[in-house]
Amino acid sequence: MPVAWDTTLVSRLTPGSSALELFESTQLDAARVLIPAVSVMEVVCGHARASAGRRRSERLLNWLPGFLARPDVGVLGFTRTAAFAVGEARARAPFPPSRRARDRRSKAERRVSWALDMQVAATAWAFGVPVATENVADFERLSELLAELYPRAKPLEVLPSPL
Amino acid sequence: MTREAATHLGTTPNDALILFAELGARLYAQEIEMARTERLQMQAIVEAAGPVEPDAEYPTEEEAREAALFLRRTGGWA
Repeated sequence: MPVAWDTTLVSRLTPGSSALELFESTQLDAARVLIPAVSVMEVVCGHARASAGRRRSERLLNWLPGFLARPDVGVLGFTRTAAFAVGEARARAPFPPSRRARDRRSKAERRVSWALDMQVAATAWAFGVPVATENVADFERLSELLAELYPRAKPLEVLPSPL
Repeated sequence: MTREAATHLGTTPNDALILFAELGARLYAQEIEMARTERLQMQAIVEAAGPVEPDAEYPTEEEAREAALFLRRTGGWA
């Protein structure tokens, strides 16, 4: 079964990285890695914000379009099913779980990030594929939330990072 | 692409073409299954919403306009 990577993993797809090597090695398998469109947005935004004066981000911003255009790179769109589910999930849990010790982000940044994680989780949930993440605790909470809202739907499976 | 894959897989280009056709069919089947799941998940949302009451009161045009204005003012996610 294919696996969707969340943004924590998609952001590690860079030329020559072990993440890219692993990604490419799965693309001809049944268990290929798919990229949620929301994660593409987050990664592009991160590089675009950091690109001023930073050659590495500029180079990655130039590399990404070609990578995304490759026929073997599967991107999962944000569908009506995911959109509706996120709407209900955000209304039920508008705030992220409590801050972890090493998390230095502001309250506003964590709220934005929570909403985007919801979109990634709902994307994988909508297509019935597991999501792999470095942030297992939050995604497990999101999986529970979706299961509470839609008990008859196929639940979202959360996998730890393979990296 | 095929030649590269053939080298990677340690096979000849012709074998690789057959392999690619098989893989293509498998990946296509996956996409069909994912699209089917997406429809079923939407169905689960519809079921969770419950039946629509025949005499349910829907917002009038005026109420809908007010709601749209409210969402625009608040950003909808406040």
